[in-house]
Amino acid sequence: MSTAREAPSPFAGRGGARPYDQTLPGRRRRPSGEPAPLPRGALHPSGKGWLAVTLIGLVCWIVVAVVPPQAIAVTAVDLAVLDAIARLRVDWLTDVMLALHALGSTWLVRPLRWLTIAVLVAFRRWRALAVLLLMLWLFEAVLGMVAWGFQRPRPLGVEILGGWRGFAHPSLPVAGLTITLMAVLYTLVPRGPWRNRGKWIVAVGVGLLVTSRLYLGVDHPTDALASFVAGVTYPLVAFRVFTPDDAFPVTYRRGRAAHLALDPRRLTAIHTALRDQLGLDLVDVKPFNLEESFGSTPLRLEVAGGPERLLFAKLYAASHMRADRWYKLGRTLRYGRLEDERPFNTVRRLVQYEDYMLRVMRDAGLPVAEPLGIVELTPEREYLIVTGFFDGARELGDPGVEIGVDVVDDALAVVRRMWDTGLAHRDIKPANVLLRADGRVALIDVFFGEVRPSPWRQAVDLAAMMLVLALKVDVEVVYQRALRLFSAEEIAEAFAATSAATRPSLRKLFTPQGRDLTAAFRELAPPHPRIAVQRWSARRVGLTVAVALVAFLAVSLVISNLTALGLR
Amino acid sequence: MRRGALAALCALALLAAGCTAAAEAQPRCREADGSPLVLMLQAVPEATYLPCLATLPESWALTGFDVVPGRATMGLRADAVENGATITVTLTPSCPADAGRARPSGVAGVRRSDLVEEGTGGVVATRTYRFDGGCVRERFELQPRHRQEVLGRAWAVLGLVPAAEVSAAIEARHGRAPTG
Repeated sequence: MSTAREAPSPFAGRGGARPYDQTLPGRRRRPSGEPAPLPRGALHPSGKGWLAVTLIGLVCWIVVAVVPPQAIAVTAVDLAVLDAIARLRVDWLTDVMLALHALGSTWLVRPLRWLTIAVLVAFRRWRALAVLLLMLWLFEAVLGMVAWGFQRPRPLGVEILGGWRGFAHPSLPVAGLTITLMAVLYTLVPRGPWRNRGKWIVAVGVGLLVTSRLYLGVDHPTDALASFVAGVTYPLVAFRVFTPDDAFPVTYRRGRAAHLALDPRRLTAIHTALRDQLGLDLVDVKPFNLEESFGSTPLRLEVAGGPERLLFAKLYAASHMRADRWYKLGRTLRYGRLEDERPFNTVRRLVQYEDYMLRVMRDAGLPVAEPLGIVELTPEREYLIVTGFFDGARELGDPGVEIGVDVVDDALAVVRRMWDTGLAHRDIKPANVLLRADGRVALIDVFFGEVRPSPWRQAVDLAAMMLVLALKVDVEVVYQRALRLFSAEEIAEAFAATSAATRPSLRKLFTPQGRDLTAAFRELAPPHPRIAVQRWSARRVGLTVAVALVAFLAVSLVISNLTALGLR
Repeated sequence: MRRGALAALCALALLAAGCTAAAEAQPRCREADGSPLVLMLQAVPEATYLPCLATLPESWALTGFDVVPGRATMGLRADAVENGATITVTLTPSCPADAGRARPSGVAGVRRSDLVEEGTGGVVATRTYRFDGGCVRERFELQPRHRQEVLGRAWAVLGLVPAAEVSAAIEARHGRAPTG
């Protein structure tokens, strides 16, 4: 469904200048001190504002704790306010306030917390879940400590009409409701108008609870105020820092969690970065083929200079690097370490590697997209790798694509070329093999590429390509054409080596008639003993035990702290 | 500093602060204007006496302090030297009758009864103080070995303070007495 011939390079009309040539016009070096195109700024101004208010509150707390006359003065003001409120008491209003007082009950807060956890588990948002649990645990612990530190009695000389527990400061029900509602907002409600409306609901809900508690003489005004500020700031900072929306957006759309949202802030950053770093004027940017992308956010860029100036780009962020790390950990646990599957340490290295593989493969004469450079959006956290675009090309797996033996030969020749030049693609699948408009084959997504792979790894590439071709052409035809470039033993080795582990995105494939392609090729090829994928080592055993232990400890910790988390 | 390290540092600092704070929160008999006593009075405002800690030897630690309207509970635990004995002190507006033997309390207006029950798991000694507006029940759980010595020391940990003293101390400080 995607792409064909490579679109004319946007650099073509610039005297042949290439992305790394110094003569390329339109570029600008970012001077020292100038923020990056997409500065981190996870807290946003509102978060910084709440943090400032909290810090001021902390200073006040310390002053009150250290200077007893100050505490007496604050209490005097608090009690004067409560006296004034108590004079408004009438029976019917007391009934209303007693009902509103239930907003701070564990019977409301506890189900809300469980519901949030259930949704996060259902949508496999583990990071948000971990942040939520840690935040609740820390928050409850901190509040308990502050309460013990201050030991503030309930309001003196005011008849207390509502239920209470323990010391007055901070107000645990107010803090508990606030942090719970904020957690719901920041983990379950997508950023935008719904979350903004939700903030008003939080304000109204907590406001009603505070009003009832002051009316009933349960809390001092400063108890409620401090709890509200802490209850807003704490989750706001925690979620914005540890699960920023840019990298971990709350979304219920179908799609992969790896994809980053193209919000106005990021779009502006892409525009600026492309102009400053590659001298390209962006006209339009669209997500491209998202459903086939597992580890990045693929984009189609249109740059100024004519309708054909289309480019392809992949957006990589820290979330992709972490996803890659988890994916490789999972594969190590399931199969043992497969060759060259070490995770990347930084996003910069990840994009550098893909850019390098593109250049190596292109130099080796393989039909891959032209690398046009790397664009930095946020240093060390977010990069865009830009390549040429195969305009009009289609994926070989597309239902409407018909191919003949010439395409089969071309595709097999690509594998032969990789074998001869000591390279492996390692992710050959229908979506990564394109049929260009000129009828030639192209390979995309070289992120998993490898230099000097083992013979086993090369054999797997051959099997994967033959399976892809057999989706369109008869198995026997593919086999016979392959024999022109590979020996029967090599083909037998390829299908002895291939398995679900070696081609994770190319699971069991069948012909339209329901024939198992792998089995069909194995029948055609000479007998060959299966090549085991499982690699057992002390490291794998140790890693498996460690992961099981960590998982057990994490679950035990949560279960044993259900009370501390306000969940029991 | 990395965010993980920052979070770990915050957690450690808060835990350390919490330990310090918890150690300071004790309803001491000598501190009539102490907040824990005031809170207990707010929970059972009719009580004429409140339970308190006469002394807290190093071998004992306050393990819990939970106060809600109508009930205040305090927990103490001794270390291995005292055979890991525990005490639970409860203040309520009234206590159900029990089979304890009446003993002199040594405090005017306070009736005391003691009940000692021995089981396979250890000894449970319950001392009950009844007075106007309230009742304090002290429940000791300890191993049979050296029980008399341990019990004697454990009872010395606890005391009673007149609620009027607490009320007066708070009124002198804040200009108003606690109410429930």
